[in-house]
Amino acid sequence: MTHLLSPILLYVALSIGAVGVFLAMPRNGGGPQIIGALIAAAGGGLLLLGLALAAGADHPSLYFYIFSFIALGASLRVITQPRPVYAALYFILTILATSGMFILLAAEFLTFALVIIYAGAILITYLFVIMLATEAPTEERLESLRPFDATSQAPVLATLLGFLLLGALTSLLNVSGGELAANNDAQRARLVAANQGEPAMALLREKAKTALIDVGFPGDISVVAVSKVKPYLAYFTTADAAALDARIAAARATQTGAPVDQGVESLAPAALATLAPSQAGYRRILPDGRAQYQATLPLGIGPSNIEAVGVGLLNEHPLALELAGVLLLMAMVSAVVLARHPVKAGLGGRPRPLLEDAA
Amino acid sequence: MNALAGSMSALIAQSAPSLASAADMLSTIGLYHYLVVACAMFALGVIGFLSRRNLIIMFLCTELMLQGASLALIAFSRYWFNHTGEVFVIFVLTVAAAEAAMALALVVLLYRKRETLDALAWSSMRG
Amino acid sequence: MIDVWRTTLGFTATLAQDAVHTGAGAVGAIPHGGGFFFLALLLPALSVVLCGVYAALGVKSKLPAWTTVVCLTLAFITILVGYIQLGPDSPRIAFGFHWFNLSWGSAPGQSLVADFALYIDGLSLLWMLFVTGLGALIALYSSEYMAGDKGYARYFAAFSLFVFTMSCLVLGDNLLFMFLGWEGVGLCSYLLIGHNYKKPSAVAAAKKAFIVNRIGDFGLIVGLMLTFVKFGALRYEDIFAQVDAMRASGVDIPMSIKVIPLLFMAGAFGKSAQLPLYVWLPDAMEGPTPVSALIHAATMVTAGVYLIARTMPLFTLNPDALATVAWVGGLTALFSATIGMAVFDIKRVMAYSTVSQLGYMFLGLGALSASGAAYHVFTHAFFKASLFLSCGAVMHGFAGQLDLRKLSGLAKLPGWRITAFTMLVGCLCLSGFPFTSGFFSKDMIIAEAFVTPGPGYQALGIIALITAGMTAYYAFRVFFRVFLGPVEFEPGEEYTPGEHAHDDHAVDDGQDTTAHASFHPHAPGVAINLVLTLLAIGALAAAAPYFMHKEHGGWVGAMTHGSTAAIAEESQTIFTAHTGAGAVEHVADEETLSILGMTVPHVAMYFISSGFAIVGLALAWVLHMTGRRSAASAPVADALKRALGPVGVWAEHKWYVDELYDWLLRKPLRVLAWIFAYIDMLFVDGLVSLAGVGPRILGWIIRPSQSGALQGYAAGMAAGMILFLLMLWVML
Repeated sequence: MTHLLSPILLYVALSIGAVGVFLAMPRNGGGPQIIGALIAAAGGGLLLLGLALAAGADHPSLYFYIFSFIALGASLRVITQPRPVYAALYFILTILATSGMFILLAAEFLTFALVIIYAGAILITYLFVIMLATEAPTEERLESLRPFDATSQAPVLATLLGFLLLGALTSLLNVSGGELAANNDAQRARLVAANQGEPAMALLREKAKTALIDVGFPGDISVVAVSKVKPYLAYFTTADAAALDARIAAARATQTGAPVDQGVESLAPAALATLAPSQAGYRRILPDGRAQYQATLPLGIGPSNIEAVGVGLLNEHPLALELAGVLLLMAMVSAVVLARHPVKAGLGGRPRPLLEDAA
Repeated sequence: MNALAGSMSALIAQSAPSLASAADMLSTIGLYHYLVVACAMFALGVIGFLSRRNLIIMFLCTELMLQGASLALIAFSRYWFNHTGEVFVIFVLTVAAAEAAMALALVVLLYRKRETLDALAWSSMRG
Repeated sequence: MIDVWRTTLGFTATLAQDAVHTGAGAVGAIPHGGGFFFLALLLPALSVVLCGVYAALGVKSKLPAWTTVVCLTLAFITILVGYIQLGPDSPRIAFGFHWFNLSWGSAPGQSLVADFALYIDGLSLLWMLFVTGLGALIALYSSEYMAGDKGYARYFAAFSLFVFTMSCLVLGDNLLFMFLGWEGVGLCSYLLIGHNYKKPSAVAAAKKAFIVNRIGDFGLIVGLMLTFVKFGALRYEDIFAQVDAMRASGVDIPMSIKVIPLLFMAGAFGKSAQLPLYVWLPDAMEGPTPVSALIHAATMVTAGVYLIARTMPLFTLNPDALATVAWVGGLTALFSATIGMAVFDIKRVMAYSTVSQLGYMFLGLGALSASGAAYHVFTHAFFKASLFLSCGAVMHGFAGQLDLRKLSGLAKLPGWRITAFTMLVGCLCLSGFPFTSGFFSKDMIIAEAFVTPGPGYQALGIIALITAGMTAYYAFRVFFRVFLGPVEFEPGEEYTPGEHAHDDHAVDDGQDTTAHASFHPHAPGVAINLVLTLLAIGALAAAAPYFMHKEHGGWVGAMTHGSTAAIAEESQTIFTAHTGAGAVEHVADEETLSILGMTVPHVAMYFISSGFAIVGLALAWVLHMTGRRSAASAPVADALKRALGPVGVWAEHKWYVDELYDWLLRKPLRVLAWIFAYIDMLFVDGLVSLAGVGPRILGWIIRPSQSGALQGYAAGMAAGMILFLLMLWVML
């Protein structure tokens, strides 16, 4: 059974982390929280170090480690901070770190979505409710820290269960990942490539066509495919192959200083530059007689992340999108209904609270 | 920026057998990095849920768990070179928002009943 | 009617024993017939049903008694007619209906046939004659004796049931039918002893009788099963045919077959009250006196003798069994005679006397004199019945008084002469006074004992003679104390002062010297006197059969000659073949006997045994009549008793046998029961309680999970998820 990461290292790091988290739990407002945090940090650091060493040349960029450290540290602080407002603020920090990791994973739309929605809307709501449900500090009690906030409940059980869960998850992934990595990543790439959905490819072809026309190719080309090989090539055909050939020849002649046929308009030099480098290799004849040309695409032609996500969302999951909208509507309405104060009725109605006393 | 650009172009990177490039693809060990962090966030959320007594903070820890799940989904989405994971995360965000609204409304109501945010105020069963 | 039964023959064809059936032997193929003998079974059964109906309807008159007397008399007539028609030498089998008729193969031993069929030969006729005859007479006696009893109809129902089951026992043609009757008489004995079920001593005595019988019955049952296993059959003719073949062929008899007679013997000893299973018979005197007379003197206790006589061919296969039978019989006779000499309750004396006389019968069987044993059964039935009924009359007349220290001189009271006369006749027969029936029957047995060449039979003969002397002593002790001497009486426990219910029978006698001046004895009435007279005549007349059919040793001998018991007397080499001694011929009525090494002519036997009897009588006179002025004390006897010291006291306490059994059996069983009770309480109940504790513990474990704490549930979910992941991990 191959492992991605040495299990011993994993368990040792998790154990250290468990001890640290346990110590960091608040006890009556105090306790060895700092020491606990340090130990937890040591454990986390050990884990990340181990991962980095195991990855070797495949390790993600440095930013990953920074962001993950911040995220884990902030999460720890969320759960060990006795004061609710501070906990919420630390959570916002966690969100920011997570969104940083999203960027590393090239999901920039979700980065922004996360920050806007989560940090900007949900957490603000949380903060409002926290403030609503907390008594204001008075003269005698500046620190209105409730006892139920000050002490954590069942720290041993919680830590134990949490780290058992973590251990189980990571071990499982360790083993299955190891087996997955045993297969050639190249094979995966080919599988992955086949996963490209058709709408994305159509979009890609459209963009390629626009880009080629911008560069100088005639407008009646139609892109057949975009290559799967770097440098990214676009394959296109044209209705009037002979005219295009003449233009290409004229452009080449201009470049090399050869006599130019004045009746033929030459292709733009930029377009010429994008044609396949090899003189002979920029076109070939398809079996059905058409000529197929290939040109290098400029960079940045692929759909941006937001385009891709949008395409995926609307093309493949339209129903889910609608349902999500309905869900949000329901949530809004019910939140309003639930949190209403009992209304005094005007004519003959009785005030009815919405939540009966559950005692 | 270069790394960013490289990552972006990696989205449409396809490789021939001779051109497999580490910069374009997320290797399995790389995926594992992200997954470990995601699981750790999830586990921390579980610990927080089990050890806090403030209702609002308990829900916050639930949100933390959802964060972990989102990170894992995005990582997988990168790993398999499609956007399904990201689409899913959009829905996760939706649900998180709806759930937060409901949960907080309920917490407000509960607070009105018992004047406290303590979760143990609501345990009236004798074990 | 005979033809109707005859045409119901079916069983010959269904039997698989035909191959054995045709073997030549002492008992050849037996013809069928005599179906009307079933009347002897049906009539008592009818009486049972009718008396049961009377009991249910609460009939208060003497109707149950008359029904029983009529039915039993008719049954007796049936037997008599049958005897006259058939004679003792022509055995018959009368087939009734199939009872057990199973067959699972065609080889011998693969079918079980036990039908309701009657085996009628001399032996069964002899038994049936006095069973039904005495049954009728004693039913007549009971009609007056039991008058006023609340369970009158119930008594007669049980009485008739007894006669029915005794007939089944005697007439059955297979061991299973016989066993049905065997158990039935045990049941009826229980019912009748415990007739006064409100009296604790009666109930205890009934239970004792049944349980001690059961011990013997166990041996009988095992013997029955072993018979079936070894012989493959349960019907007499099949078994005996095989036995004859076995003996004729001279093969070695295997041990498993030799055990069968020993097992039957155990059953016989239980039913017929021999050592060590005799303890129930004295206690059975708690039942009404007619019951004691019929069942525990004349009929049921002779069932054991009948069994051994019937299965005599099996016993001849194992001479050791015969010797055991003889020795146990002889020792029992001696032992119980010693007790009879010391107890004071006259009915108990008669009970021990019965045990002693039964010992004589077994001695006779063991000495290969089936005719002697059967004759003694016959005579004993008459004289013991008359003795018991006389005691019953005394008890009935004196409100339950039976202690001979409290009664005296009753013969001089008017109205009591017949009772005294029958008592005298009975005592004479019991003692073996010359020319009484008891004399002849006892003589046959004792003579046989001296002739038989088996082990120690000479000693047995001497023991028998000594016991005869003791018998005479205790019999006349009772007679002299109770009926002669100064007139003195005390009422028994049933007397309540102030009650003058017997005024019409009261007799004014100026010799009333008792403390209860107002008590008047109730002299017996017509029914009792009639029966007593008939029985006395019968006891005397029972001597007559000795002189009939002399070639077979008397009429009884003639009866047994045609039966399975005849094997005993016809086989001359049983003991000699076994012991290998010189060929001493065992012939009945031999001219000379050998006693103590002396050769004595047989005639001398008469004188010797009468000598012992007269010596016993004289001893009783000396000890109990001379110088006796009151009922309570006889000076010579008391002096002797004082001289004997502790021995006398032990004898009076029945040699503490009951106490011995109590220590040997009852107390260990109680300890065992106590142990088992503890085991039951601790382990069995404990296990059950544990089963109850289990769910509670389970609840105690699970209950904290339902605490209502939100995080508890969350923790549970997390734990579940962990488990699931671990499972996945393991599977990968």
